[in-house]
Amino acid sequence: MTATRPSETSSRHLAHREKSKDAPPIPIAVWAVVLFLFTSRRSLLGFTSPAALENWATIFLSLTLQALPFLVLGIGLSAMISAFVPASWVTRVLPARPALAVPVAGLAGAVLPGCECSSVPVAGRLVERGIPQAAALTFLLTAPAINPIVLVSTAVAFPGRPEMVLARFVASFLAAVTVGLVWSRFAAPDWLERRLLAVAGSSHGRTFLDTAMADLLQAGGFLVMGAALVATMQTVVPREVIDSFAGDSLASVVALAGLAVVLSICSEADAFVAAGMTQFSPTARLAFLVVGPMVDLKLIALHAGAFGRRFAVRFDPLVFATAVAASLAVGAVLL
Amino acid sequence: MRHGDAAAVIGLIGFVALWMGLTDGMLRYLRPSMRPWLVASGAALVALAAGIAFVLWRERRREGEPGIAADGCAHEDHHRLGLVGWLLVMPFLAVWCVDPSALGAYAAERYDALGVPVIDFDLASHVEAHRFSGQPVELKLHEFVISATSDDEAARGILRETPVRLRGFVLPSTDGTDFRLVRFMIGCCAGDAVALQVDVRGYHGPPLEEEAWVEVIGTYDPHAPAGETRDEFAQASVPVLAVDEVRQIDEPDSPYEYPR
Repeated sequence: MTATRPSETSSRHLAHREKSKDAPPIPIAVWAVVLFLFTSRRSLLGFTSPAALENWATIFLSLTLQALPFLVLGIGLSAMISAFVPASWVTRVLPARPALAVPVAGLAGAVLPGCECSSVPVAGRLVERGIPQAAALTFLLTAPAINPIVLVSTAVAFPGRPEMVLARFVASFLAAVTVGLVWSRFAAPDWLERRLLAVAGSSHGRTFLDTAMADLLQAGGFLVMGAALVATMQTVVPREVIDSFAGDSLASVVALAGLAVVLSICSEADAFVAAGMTQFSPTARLAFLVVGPMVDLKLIALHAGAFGRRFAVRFDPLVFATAVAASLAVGAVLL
Repeated sequence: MRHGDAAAVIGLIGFVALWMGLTDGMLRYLRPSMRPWLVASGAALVALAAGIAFVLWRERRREGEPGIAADGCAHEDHHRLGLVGWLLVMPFLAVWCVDPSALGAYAAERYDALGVPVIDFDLASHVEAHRFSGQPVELKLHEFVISATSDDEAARGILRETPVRLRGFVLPSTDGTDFRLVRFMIGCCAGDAVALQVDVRGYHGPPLEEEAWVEVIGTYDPHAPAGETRDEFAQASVPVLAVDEVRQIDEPDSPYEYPR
């Protein structure tokens, strides 16, 4: 939060726009390109796009458009938190001890049907509202991983294999809570940088509008960056590479977990892809389902955007390792 | 990034979502049930952009009035919008400049390492319900592939004796006669696509172009030697169809198949 009196802030931060007449010429350049392409469309390209570029663009647009509604939903929710939830509310509903707060936050994430893209801005605003970091991060991990929609789609993708649904739930919850507890015990507070714009508007409506705009540009920009990265990987890296790891070994588990990171498939659809990977052991496929919603290229970009690069380089490897370990343990017992 | 630019960028991405959602453009990228969500989010983004623009316009007008001056920039750091927001222009550029079609031959050649998800499908009762006087039974490509590659002997027995009608696009083989029939199945979006493939044998008509959409009528052939598949895993999920008839069709509105 800024130290400014709320009533002054909002009018100021729009007003000083006029002062920055010497702003960098990026806007003009971008709009010139957009306008140029708008008027000339494909005539200037003059050729049909190469197959690889078209494939890239198909996947890029698919991921972006698929995530957009969830992102808008998450941003709506996070803007509501900023505008209407007083900071004091959190301390009343959440247990103070991390050992309790972390599992509670994890269960809260499991109940709310969210997508990975919507949970990042929500978790960011929760931290800003004073929720302990570890609890907010546990919520960040469980919300996309084990909500009802995801569990139902897993049950549909693995007909007659209810143990897969149970294993996914248990392993994901275990991994998320472990990460939360490890984080609360060992993490330095300044690893997480609050990069979300602090907004204090003159009214609820104004706070909502400013928060939504700031979060959308931030999370949306990183989402687009992640989608472009994933599309590149999917277009460039041949999938045959994956098959060289097939089998029952530990390497196959790590390979599928790595594939989940690279493919960045939405948590509501990944079960169908996992179901088709019959050349891999059930435990390896479980790792694919547990890792995917918690850490993938798109999410790493979103994490870095919301909490800073220093956060992402520590948090995401921790989550990856914990999720693989949880999958191995749960897979050994249940599958 | 200035607030005016922010409003324009948000409006632009909202416009892309509305454009794709209100036309059939989205069907090339997403499953049809995403349509209302896409349209709603597009509308919300356009409304947000309009809201920001309105606030800006009001403040600018107020600034013009004497007595209310623009203030200093002491808090600018808290309100600076990062450059990363500019990336939201990219989807528009991708739609406008590349206008990519649905996943095609390029992806099919690369994706066959992933198997086909097993989905509950009762072939016997489907054939019972849809077979009229010896007409071929229409099957979705995933229904055919799943039945033909399952361990269910009874299902494969039915397939051996029932002519079927399948739709997909052509992936030509190197020798020019036989071809592979391909269609993608997607769970949510084209990012999670799985390639469904059938080797079509016994076709001797004029060579078909790559990605030409066709309807084929034929019968499952369990004895044909497996085609030029890339690895032992893909082989199991590429059944062979002995073809009687091939007809070119228009690309369907929904280029993909969906598990549910």
